[in-house]
Amino acid sequence: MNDKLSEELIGAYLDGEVTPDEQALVERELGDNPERSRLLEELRGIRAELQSLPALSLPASFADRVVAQALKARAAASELAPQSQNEDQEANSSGSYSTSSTSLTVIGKGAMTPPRQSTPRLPAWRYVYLVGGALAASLALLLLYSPPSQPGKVAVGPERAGPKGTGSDGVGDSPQLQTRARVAQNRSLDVVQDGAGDSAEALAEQGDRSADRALFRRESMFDRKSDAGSILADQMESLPPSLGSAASGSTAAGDTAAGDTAAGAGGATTERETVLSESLAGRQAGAGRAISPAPPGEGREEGLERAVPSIAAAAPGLAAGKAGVAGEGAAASMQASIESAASSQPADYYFRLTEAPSPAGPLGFATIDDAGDSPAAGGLESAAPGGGAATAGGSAAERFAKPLANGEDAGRGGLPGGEAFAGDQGVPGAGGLGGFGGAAPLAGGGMGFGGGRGFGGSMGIGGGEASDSASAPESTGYRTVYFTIDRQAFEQGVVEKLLVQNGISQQSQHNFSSALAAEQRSFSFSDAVAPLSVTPELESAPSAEGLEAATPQPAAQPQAASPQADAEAGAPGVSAPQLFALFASRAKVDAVLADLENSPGVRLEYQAAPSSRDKLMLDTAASSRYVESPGSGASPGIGASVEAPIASAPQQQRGLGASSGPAPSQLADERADGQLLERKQSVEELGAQSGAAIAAADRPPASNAPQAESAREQDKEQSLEQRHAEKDQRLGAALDAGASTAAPARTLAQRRARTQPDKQSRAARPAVESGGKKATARSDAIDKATARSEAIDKATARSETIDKATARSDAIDDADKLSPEQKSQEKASIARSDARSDFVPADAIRAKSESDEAAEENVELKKQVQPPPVGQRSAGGARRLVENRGELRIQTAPQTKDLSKGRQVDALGEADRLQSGQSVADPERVLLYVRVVDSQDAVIEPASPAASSPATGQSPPP
Amino acid sequence: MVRQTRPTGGAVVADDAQLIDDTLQGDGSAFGQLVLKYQDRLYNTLASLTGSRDDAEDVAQEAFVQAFLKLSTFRKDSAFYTWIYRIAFNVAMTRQRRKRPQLSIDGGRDPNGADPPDNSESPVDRLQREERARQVHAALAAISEEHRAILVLREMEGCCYETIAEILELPVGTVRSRLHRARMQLRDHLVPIHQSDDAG
Repeated sequence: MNDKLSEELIGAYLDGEVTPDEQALVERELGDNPERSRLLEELRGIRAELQSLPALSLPASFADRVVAQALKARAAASELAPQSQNEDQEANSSGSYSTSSTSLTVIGKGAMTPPRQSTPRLPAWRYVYLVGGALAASLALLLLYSPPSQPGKVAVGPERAGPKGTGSDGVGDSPQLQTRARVAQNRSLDVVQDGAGDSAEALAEQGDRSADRALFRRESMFDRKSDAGSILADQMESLPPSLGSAASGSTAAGDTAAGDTAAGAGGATTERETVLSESLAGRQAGAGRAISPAPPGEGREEGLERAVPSIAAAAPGLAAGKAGVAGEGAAASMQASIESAASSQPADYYFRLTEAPSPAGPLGFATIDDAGDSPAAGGLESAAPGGGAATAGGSAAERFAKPLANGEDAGRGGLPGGEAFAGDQGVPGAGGLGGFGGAAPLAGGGMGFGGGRGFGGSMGIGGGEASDSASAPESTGYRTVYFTIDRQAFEQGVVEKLLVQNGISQQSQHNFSSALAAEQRSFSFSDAVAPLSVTPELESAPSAEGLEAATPQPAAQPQAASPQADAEAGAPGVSAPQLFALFASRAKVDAVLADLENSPGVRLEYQAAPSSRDKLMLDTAASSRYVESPGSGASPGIGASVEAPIASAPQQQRGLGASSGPAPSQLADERADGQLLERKQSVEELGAQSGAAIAAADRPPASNAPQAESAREQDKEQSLEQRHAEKDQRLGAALDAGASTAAPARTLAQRRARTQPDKQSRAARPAVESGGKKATARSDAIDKATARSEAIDKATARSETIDKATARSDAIDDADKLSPEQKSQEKASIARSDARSDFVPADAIRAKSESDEAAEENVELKKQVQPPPVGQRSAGGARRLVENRGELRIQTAPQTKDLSKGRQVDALGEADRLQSGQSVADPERVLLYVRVVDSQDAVIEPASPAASSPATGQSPPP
Repeated sequence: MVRQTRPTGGAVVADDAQLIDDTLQGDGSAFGQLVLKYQDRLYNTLASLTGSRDDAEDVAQEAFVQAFLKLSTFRKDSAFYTWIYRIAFNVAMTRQRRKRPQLSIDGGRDPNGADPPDNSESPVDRLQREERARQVHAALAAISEEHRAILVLREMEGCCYETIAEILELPVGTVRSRLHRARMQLRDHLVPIHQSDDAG
């Protein structure tokens, strides 16, 4: 008998579970083997230990409580479908009992009437609640997927195609998408049916995954189908202007893509949003039930309500589709969607007002009902109408402006913005207004935010490449303001009155009123400000007030300057009227916002700019200056932003002296004739000039020292350059000769390789855009190249710093006047300065800016092949996080490079910590991030926590 | 002690059968008597099994409610307590799988009155007994659920191998071997405690 069997027998002997033969065997073993005897004693000891544990007892009321709850449970179960009982009987008759199988059966049948009482002590009830949640999810899915042929139901998806066949050209009718949608639906149903004991978690997880998949699909679909925008834009242009704002005006093509939800993406968006909605509904229904027990009836309502925001969020695109292309089918679908949304009107109305610069009709703004924090809504921010023609450009802006790859096709169009506006080279910190441009397709399309550098420390928003195609969206630089209007104020027409008071165009007012009359909670319209007739007063000292006062009556059609006017103005990229109109319109929006804030029943929630690129630009171009020297370049408002650069910029002054505004039809003709392209080229030329000028301005300001000292400086520089050249030659020879890896040789190798990463990136980028695995590999290559470029830049900057320090040290050595102590002190000072790790030359900052942009592109490229993680929604082409934290939503990038400190900063994490009351390393900087996101204007004061928002006066988010 | 009413295998006893019939006839109080009859035993077993009194109460409650709802499907060829134990163990296992592994949370706290005070023992003795109980609970919590369940059923409930096999739906041979492994595991956890006590 082996030991193990023997020990088992001893245990069985202890339990009296042995046969007589085994008993005899064990007793013999115990007598022969003292270890066995000891084991038996140990087992007896264990038994005694266990049996000595104190006995517990339940109160007598436990039985009563159980009976009462059992009776309640039976009463609730009696409302279950008979099938459940049958299946339960079958399950039990099979001899097995499983609580999870019971739950599975109930959920699978889905015919349970919810109990009305919660039983917190009764976990079994949770399954009952889950049934309700699952039912809500199923009903929401079925409702959302009802065929459009059934009147009164929400119609989405492929059948919605109108006469123009919009959806069929886009992704809306994509069989693939249909299939995916069905799969998503089936999955949700499968989850419902297979929920079992863990059905709540499964539903929640499935909902999350579905939401992520939907978001990912939405983005990737837009990317892959980006050319649909061009096709639809052509269709838009073929429509009569009377079809609506999306097709009206000379910016038809641009608007088509700018509010790219309008046509092609509109239908597709609806379907995508529906997919998302169902996922979210399922998630809410499932997870909601798992978290807080509630009657399934409520769960259903909640699920539907949760789905409504997504539908409502899709409404802008649908509305635009109605106006433009989508046709009656889409219109009917839109109407149904909106009715569905309106059927669950809350007490207050939550709006998102998006201001979009439209050079043709300089500013537009749209109110988009957000009605929630659905991730889907984020993608629609880009749907802000009012894209327009070129605004301005500059080579520097273009240099920084690199449209994100995934939006390049559909998303191009924003003409580079930036220094062309700013003009004045000699007034750093004056706060020039950055140009606007870039690309903003609906969702997932690349935000074309380039890095037009705000001039003089101000902020530049925009960039992006001018597109050869007139069908590209051109609206990107906008701020978004979220506000809530209580129902009373809403019904009193507070917003309408404000629009009237502030001179918003009658067309926009009409659109707004029409939307209200139709009980639509989603609005989309663009405003247009007619070009100003320039007056000498304005020419000399334009200010916000002056601009506002001089703003003429708004026109119904957007207008823009003609290239002839631009030529006369000497500023081919932008005309003075456009510029003024832009500022005036912005002032209008500011005024509207201010009035909104002061209106009873209206509460401004927060402001947000949609792109992290904004912040990135600020960090690279402005933040360091602003933070280091508060207020040095801070522009208190539009007036100051406009005033200084224009007043002192020769080119702009020439422009100001020019034209009155062109006729509304001029821009359309201009587009039709391809003159926009010429304008773009002119803009680029102007930008090149401005860029050169700005580069000169970026150099250290001219010293007031005597000329001899300047000459000495020049000699020093020449000497240093010569020394570097000689050193490079020596090191190059050593490197070529295969010398060992001496640090100087590495330095030279780095210098030689400095341009390689960019070449690699450029070479790899087209392939990356092709998508798929190859794109991923290339993207990784770009990542590596970018990282390498950054490392090289850093090393180069460091090397240059060391070189300068060496030169200075040499100069000290050569100086006869200095005593040995003085020389020692000077060298120690140099050593200290050399040891500073946060010293970053201006050139390095610019280089880093380029690298950062490339890195962001890479992030976008990666997103094409990788779904965003749960909780991180990617929308608008720029990765960002939208977190709902009560009143405040922080919208920022996961990581922001803080060049003033030379390190990566987790802005979101910092903001979170700040908001949660935790201490952060640098509260002001966190606030700055938030503030940067808040305002598009060049109003980036390094705020203290108590500072108020510049645009609205509201307190900073934290 | 509760465990003195050692359950026996085989068909349901007459009282239980009558109470079950009455319950099925709509007499809720009959089911209350069933609950009252087995609640402490089940509660003790579940407390040792789950390592938490709160969890044990929850599981017991849920098990009884489920038994009530499924009582019509109960085949009387087995004991009611076996059936209710099977339900309770399934519930407990399901709950345990959803939870992260944890040590006994009751071992370090006072009995909160659940344990009737014994006036005959001194405070020191009581402290020692409680400490000993805490150590045993900790050792129980350290072994796997499967082994803990079988050990509790055998050593604390006094169930025979056949009953254990019925409750846990295992072959009798498996019960014996698993029970042996469970004992060895518990011994391995208790021996260091004994040694430390002896050293102390």
